[in-house]
Amino acid sequence: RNLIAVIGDEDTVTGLLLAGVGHIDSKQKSNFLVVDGKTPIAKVEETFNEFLRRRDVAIILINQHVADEIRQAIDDHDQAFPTILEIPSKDHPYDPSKDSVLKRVQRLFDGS
Amino acid sequence: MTHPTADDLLLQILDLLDTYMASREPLKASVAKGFFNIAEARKTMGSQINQHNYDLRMKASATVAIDANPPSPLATTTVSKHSLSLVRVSPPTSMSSLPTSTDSIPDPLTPAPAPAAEPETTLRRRKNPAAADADNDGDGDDLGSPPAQETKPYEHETPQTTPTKAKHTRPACDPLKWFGVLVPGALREAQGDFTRALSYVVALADVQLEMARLEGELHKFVERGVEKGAPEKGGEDEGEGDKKEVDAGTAGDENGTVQGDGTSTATETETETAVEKGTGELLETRADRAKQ
Repeated sequence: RNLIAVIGDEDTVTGLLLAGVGHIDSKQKSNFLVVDGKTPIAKVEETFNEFLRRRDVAIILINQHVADEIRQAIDDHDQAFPTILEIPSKDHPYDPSKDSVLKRVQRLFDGS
Repeated sequence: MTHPTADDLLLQILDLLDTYMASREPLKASVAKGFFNIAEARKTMGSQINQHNYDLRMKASATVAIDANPPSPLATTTVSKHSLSLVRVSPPTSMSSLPTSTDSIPDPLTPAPAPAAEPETTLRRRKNPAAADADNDGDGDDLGSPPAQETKPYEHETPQTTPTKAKHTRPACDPLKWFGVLVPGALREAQGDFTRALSYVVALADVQLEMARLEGELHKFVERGVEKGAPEKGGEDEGEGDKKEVDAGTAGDENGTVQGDGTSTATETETETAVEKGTGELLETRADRAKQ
C-alpha cells in the first residue's frame, strides 16, 4: 500500500497532482477523481468505495465539502487503511465540527 | 504498571487530538497558498490549467511507506503500531543514454546541488515532520535509524530501471511539465506549496492512525472490564479505577471492596463513565478553542 488517492475539486486535484501523487496504471485506473458541480454523488461514492477496496491505496484525501456528500460512508469506515483525511478546498475552509475523525473522538467521551 | 488504564488511553488520545488540531494549521496555510498560486498562474496561462491536460501516463512520485512496529514486550499496547512516512520516488525519466541524465525533475524537496545524483538512484526521503513528535518519537527513531534496512526494498529497483531506461521512453515525470514548457513561476510555487502540504498530510494521517489504534485499545479495555466479572481481575482493575476516581475528585460509590460478579462489573463501568465525563469537559474546551 503506498498510493495517496484524491477526491476533490479541480484545483485540489491539480495541486496534489503537481506534488506528485497522481497515478494511472496500465489498466487506466487512476487514483484521483475530480468532482465538480455536475458530478453525481453516486459517482463520488462509487469511486470512494473503489479506493477503499484497492489494496494499493494507503491514504484517501478528500475535500471536506465533498466528504459531506458521502458523510455516512466515511463515518462507517473504521479500518486503519486506507486512512481518510479531510482537507479544505479553495471555497470551503476546514470545519472541525464536520471532521469524522473528531466526531469519533467525541463519541468516545459521550459516555452513552 | 503493565496495563494501561482507561485514563492513560484517554489522555494519550487527547494529546494526539491536540497534535492533530495543531497540525491542521500548517496544512491549511500551505494549501491556501497553493490555491492562491494556482489562481495566479491561471491569470497568465488561463484555461490550460485544467484536468484535461493531465498526462494520463502519470505515475506517482509521492508515495507513502507504512511501517508496522510490532509492540515490544514492555509496551502497553497489544496491537502493532503503524506509522506513515512520505516517500519520494524519482521515476526514470527520458531515454537518455547518459545514466546521469539531468533530465530528471528538480525535486522540490531536494536542494538544488545534486540533480545528477537523482535519476539513477531511487530517491528516498523520509519525512518525519515535527508535528508528529510527542507520541511518535519512538517511531521517529525507528524510522530514522535503520535507513539501510529501509532502502533495501527500493535498491533493487535501481538496477531494474537502468536497463528499462535504455529500452523505451518514459514520459517526463514532473507534473509541472503537463502544462507547458514555460510555466509561470506561480505554478511552480503552487507545486512547492502542495508538496509541503503533502508532508503535513502524511503527518496528520499518522496521528490519525495512532488515535484510531488507541481508540481500539480503549474499546477492548472497556470490553475486557465488562466481560471480566471475576473478582481477582476485577479487584485489580477496580482498585486502580477507584484511585483514579479519588484523584479526579469525582465522588462516587465506595467501590473499593470487591463485590459479587454482577456488582463489580457495574461499578467498573461507572468508574469508566465518571472518568469519561470528566475528560469530556476537557475535550469540549479544546474543541471550542479549535473553533475559535
